[in-house]
Amino acid sequence: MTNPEPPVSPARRTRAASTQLDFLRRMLGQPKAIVGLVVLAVFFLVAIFAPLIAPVDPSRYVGRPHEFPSAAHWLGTTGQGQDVFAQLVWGARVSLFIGFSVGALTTLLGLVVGMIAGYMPGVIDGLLNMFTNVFLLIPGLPLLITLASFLPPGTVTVILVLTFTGWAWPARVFRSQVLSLREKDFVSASVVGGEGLMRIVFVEILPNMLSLVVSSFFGAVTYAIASDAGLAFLGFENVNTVSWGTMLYWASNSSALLQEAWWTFLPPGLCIALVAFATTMLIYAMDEVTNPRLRSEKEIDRVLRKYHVTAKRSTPVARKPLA
Amino acid sequence: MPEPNPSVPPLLAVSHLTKHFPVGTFLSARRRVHAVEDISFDVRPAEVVALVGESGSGKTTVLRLVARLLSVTSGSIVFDGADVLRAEKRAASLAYRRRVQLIFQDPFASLNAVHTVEHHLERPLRIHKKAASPEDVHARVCELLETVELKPAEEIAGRYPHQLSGGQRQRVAIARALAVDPELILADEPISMLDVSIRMGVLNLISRLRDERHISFVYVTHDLASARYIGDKIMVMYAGHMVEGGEGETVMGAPAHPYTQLLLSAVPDPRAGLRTNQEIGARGEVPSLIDPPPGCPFAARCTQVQPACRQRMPEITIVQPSHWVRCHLFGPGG
Amino acid sequence: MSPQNAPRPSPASPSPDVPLLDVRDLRVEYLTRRGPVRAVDGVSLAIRPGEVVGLAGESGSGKSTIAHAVLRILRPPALITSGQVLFRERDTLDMDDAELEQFRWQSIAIVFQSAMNALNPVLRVREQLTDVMLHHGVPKNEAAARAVRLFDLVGIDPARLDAYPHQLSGGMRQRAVIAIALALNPDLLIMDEPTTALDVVVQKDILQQLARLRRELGFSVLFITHDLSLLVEFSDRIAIMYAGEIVERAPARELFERPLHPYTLGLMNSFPSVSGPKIKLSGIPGSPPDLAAPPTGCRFHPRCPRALPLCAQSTPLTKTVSTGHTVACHLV
Repeated sequence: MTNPEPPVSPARRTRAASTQLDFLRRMLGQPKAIVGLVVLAVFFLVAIFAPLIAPVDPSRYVGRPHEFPSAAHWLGTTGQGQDVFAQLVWGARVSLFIGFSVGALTTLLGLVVGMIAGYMPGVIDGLLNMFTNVFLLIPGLPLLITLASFLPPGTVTVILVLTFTGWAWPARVFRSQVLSLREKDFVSASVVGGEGLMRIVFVEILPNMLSLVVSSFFGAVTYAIASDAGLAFLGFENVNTVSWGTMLYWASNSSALLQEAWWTFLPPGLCIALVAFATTMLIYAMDEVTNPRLRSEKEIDRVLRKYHVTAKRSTPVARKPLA
Repeated sequence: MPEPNPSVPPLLAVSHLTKHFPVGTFLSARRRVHAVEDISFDVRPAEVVALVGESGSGKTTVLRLVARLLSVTSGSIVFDGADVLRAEKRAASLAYRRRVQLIFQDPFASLNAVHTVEHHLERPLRIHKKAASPEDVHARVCELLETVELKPAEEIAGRYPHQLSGGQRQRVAIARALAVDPELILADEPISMLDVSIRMGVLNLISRLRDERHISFVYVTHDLASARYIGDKIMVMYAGHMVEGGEGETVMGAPAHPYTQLLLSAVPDPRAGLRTNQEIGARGEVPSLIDPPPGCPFAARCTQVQPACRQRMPEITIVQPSHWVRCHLFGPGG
Repeated sequence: MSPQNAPRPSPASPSPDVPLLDVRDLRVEYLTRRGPVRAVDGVSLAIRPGEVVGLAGESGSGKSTIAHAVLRILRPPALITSGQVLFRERDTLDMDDAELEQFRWQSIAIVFQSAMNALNPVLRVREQLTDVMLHHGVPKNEAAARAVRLFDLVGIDPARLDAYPHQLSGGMRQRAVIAIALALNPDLLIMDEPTTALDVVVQKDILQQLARLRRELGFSVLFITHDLSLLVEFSDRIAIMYAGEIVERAPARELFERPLHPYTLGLMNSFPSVSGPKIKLSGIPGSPPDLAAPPTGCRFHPRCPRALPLCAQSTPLTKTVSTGHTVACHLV
């Protein structure tokens, strides 16, 4: 049951409020967004200042295998006698780099394919769409594994492989959005005004997709970080690079569970989970901003409690004016 | 389209315009929606032609065909003497876009929510090279806003659509159309989504633009009253066909076609006295436009239907000077 | 609450003094980010048995909000903050959820503007009709029989009861919605812009059907619309709303012949006619006020062509000009 239009005339603000800036501002004010950003910021800072935080070569053998955490080695040592803390800090660089590059690349590729397919009618759309569908249908993990086994192991390979399997979903999503935006009157108005194709797509339509692009990006980052960990764990990456995923691989290889050496797999697992958590929080924050009902219901419940209203499903009666 | 003694050549001459849309998928049986069927009309310079019809009449489609947002199935569009569809086969030229503009029905949907008013007015100015330097452009933008009575122009130029009321947005849309100095503006139900008290302001603006700037308008509406108010000529459409037309007062004063009479009787007019007890003729709804049967589309609902009505579409008959109708009641022998 | 089959007082002679619905000094506020907004600010309105009351206003006038408030179907952030809504002398604002569920549809029913929103697209119309009745305790076979009769009453071939909403035309869908509203024989039917989205021929048809239904079933109607010309033809009394308040009310003919409030005059100056001399109309300049920060004094004064300095300073009181004709204006 929706209310009739509330009678608030267009806001008269002294300075122009762009819908996008306003959107970003509101999103960043959400507690969920703040949590997500803080967590990501911490990880980024750790990755950037790795030489200062853990000035130890993560691949060097610095102690006995599976040493319990101590003052010398804050998170103990791995099955090969390497410093776990150092690996965690330096591994952050690789994992974050892979995660965010893949996020950016899949979003970009998805945008290009999706927007062209969505805006160009007929044959071009049909071909691109078919192409996208093929990628969507192929099972992800087997494809990942197959590709990873053929290509030389390395960070670039991982990025390529994950982008290759990950671009189709955002492409599909962006295409749908463009398809519906294309029918809007303001696009027809631009056409009638004589606007060229490129400007219509990138200046008129794209800005209307901001929230979708941002949430897609963060979704892709989540996907990339988790998939990277999975691939590494299965041994399909260069296991001599230090990343959170390869830490898990080596932990498994060294029978860490049997050895009860929790400090070798818990920290990297936790970091992966935390980054995924942070990006998910950002997506939730976006949802709340784009769907105002989610936000306002909490605020309203708070106010209503002051007025002791009885009817739960019907319009509340307060019998005194709102402050 | 019969024009008695045309002293001035028409600005726009639409002949036998037809638009069929395919229904269903590529693989299923090819049925077609006859959205617009054999429409012909003229628009002279500095003239408002009102296209009146209800939903499904095809009036909006006609507008989109003339604006070249849709491709024509058959028929011709002659603008200022030039056969547009033959000269610019694939897409409308920039020159055409400069001379023919379009205003949409929904004032919110026709403006891009992420751009300021200034952006909306600036683009056509730049595309058609109406102004070059940023100062020039800005000056022109403010000038346009003042023409459509949006003041203070500076302040409004910096606003976003959601900061404007419906009436203001529609005026911005009109300003955008004016930016290119058009000769013809196609207006698709420009006031139907506005609050009642601001509609007249917009209609009066359209009249003023016709009088002062000699811009012609094709004004599409379902509301006979507003069509009468600003239309110099009126054309009534039903189920994709044109059924009656001519000088506004003549058609409204003595409607010949049974459908026009039905429309007229259904408009609430308190000055005519309480008429709720008067039963209107012709029940029923607009027929389907998919592969329609031959004959007049109004035959199924007409109280004065003849056998001929179901066999073939009536020809144009001139009832009075400046008044024609397509109805077998007036045909040869009618 | 009236039993479904009880006879009703003849609509030709409604008891003039006992209102069926008596709204007294109703106030509805919305909680917005910019503070509380009074969508309805002290509105009083009475509807007598068997009469048609028209409520005219534009967007932001609060006319729809009143309808929703009477039935207590407004959702937060809306809140009723004062007044009484007396239906047969029982205050709906005191009722709890259970009582309201009984009250709605049996005593007052509502028809909305867009039938598309009111009808469930995946259920056949027959089910939607009988569901309402079953929910209120009508036995199954009686509900089925009533469904047939209701469709007949609103002018749809009962054979179409098994159609899905998308298989019906716009006009038929709206008739179906009216049938559902009348399913439990309510005393009052609220219609919120019921024909705005329809073509004028269909609109006329439906309104005539409605007149026939009123003669047969005897319910009252609260007809809410922006189309003043429609109200003059169709209602017994009309109330004009602006910015959350009723600025003028009068019997329909009287309002048409002797409009007093400048807003009413402005509204009437917004409807071109299809007959008679062609005169230049000007509508009303400006736009409806921002109710988060309404104008001081009379809310219409910024747009009023005859505003005095007094109008900005104090709110005009409602004065009675003649029988049943009241105005809230300093100039009167």
